[in-house]
Amino acid sequence: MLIELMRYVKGYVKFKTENGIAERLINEINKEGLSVFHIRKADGGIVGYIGYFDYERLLAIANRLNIDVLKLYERGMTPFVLRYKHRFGLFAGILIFVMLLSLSQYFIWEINVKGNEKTPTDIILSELSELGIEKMSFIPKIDFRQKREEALVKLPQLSWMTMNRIGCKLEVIVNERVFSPKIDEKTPCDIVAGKTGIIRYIEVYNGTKKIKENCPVVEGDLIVASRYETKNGKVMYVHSDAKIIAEVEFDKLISVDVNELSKEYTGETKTIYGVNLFGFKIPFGVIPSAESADIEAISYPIHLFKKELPFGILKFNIRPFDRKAEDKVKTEAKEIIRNAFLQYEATELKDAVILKREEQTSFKNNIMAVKVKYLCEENIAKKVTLDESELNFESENFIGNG
Amino acid sequence: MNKENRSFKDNFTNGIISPFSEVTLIGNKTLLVEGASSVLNYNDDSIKLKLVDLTIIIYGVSLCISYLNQDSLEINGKISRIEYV
Repeated sequence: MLIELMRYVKGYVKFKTENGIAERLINEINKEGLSVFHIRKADGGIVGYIGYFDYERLLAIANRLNIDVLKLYERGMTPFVLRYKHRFGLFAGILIFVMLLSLSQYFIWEINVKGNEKTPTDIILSELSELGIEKMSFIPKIDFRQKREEALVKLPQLSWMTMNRIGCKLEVIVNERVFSPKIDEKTPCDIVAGKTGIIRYIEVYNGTKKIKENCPVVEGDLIVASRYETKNGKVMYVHSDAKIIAEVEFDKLISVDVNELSKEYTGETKTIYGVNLFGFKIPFGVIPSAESADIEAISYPIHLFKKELPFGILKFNIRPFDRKAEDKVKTEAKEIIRNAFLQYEATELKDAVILKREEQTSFKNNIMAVKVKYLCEENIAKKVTLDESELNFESENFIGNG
Repeated sequence: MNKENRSFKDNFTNGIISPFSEVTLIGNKTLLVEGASSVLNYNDDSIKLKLVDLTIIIYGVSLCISYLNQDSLEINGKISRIEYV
């Protein structure tokens, strides 16, 4: 296969001898060191193939031996290039095409959004567009990591987002925030503490208050009960409703891998193919070290009769990078963490009053971590439905909300 | 090849190359010959080769010389018999 490919690249001529002693020609060709192949006996002579540049020497030998040689055809890349060497337009066209093709890989051609169910794709695309990510955006100018953080701040309904660049296509995978299911107002429920803290204020709209103000509670403690007894001893259940404002203290840690962040991609992408033989990965080229490039090895195993064989083709996608200055990276990491906290506070703590906020920064093993100790006042009421066993009552025992 | 190179080649190869020709038959389809010096006769059904130390005739059907260079050659086809002359 490889030899055939090399022969095609070098070019070859199919020839036929018409008279004379073919064996003498074969031996003379061999003595001269010319490479001939696929020699067959034909009517009155032989038919064979010879390298494109050796054909003239073959003619000289044949002339010396008084053998007529007929050129049947010539094939291969070299004859093709030589045939069209004066057609500059053709080569210029190919060159321009290749240049345009390589230039086109620096632009986003398509954006696909995946994972969204409630948030319309158009809204996500429109926010991304405002951040400078849209079709035909110049890829090397975009810091996808930074843009992802900014997009998450702008789209609080999303809890997570990743942007994968696949060639000229951008794949945006999102995860929507899941809110706890709303309990139907006709369903009896208790109110428990959603977080551990000290209760500062209770406003009960329905149900029986079980804990007083300024009492500490642990997550899950019952605060407003659904069950109550009437004067005549009948057990009734209501759909409890209350506002429980408590002082809660908790930590939030956000960290960034500075080693990853320091990579400044050159914009080049290189593909090297190789083979996977019984688990040994053999590339057909030089693979740079992991310190200077991101290397992704994709394996394409060969299947025979639906069974995977222990060998296959390997594709190494290589994205070289330079390292940014350490100070710059640290500043960038701080900025990313700051944005992440802003997003966290804008979404998770949007209904809370932050009373105190203590920030602690650490840098260890190339990981920059910021721990923030929050003291907040927030509504910790959490409605929980009653167990089936506990709720063993007749339907008339339920009194609706209010 | 100049004299100096030939001398080097001779010195280098004396120890590792056998003074005899090598004939390798793979199934009845392929025949590899190392140390073939010339083709004496060539037909569809027989090829007579002069080797370093002897002459052989390969008989078969649709015989074709797949490649030929100064040291070796490969014959393909349906080989039925090899005769050492």
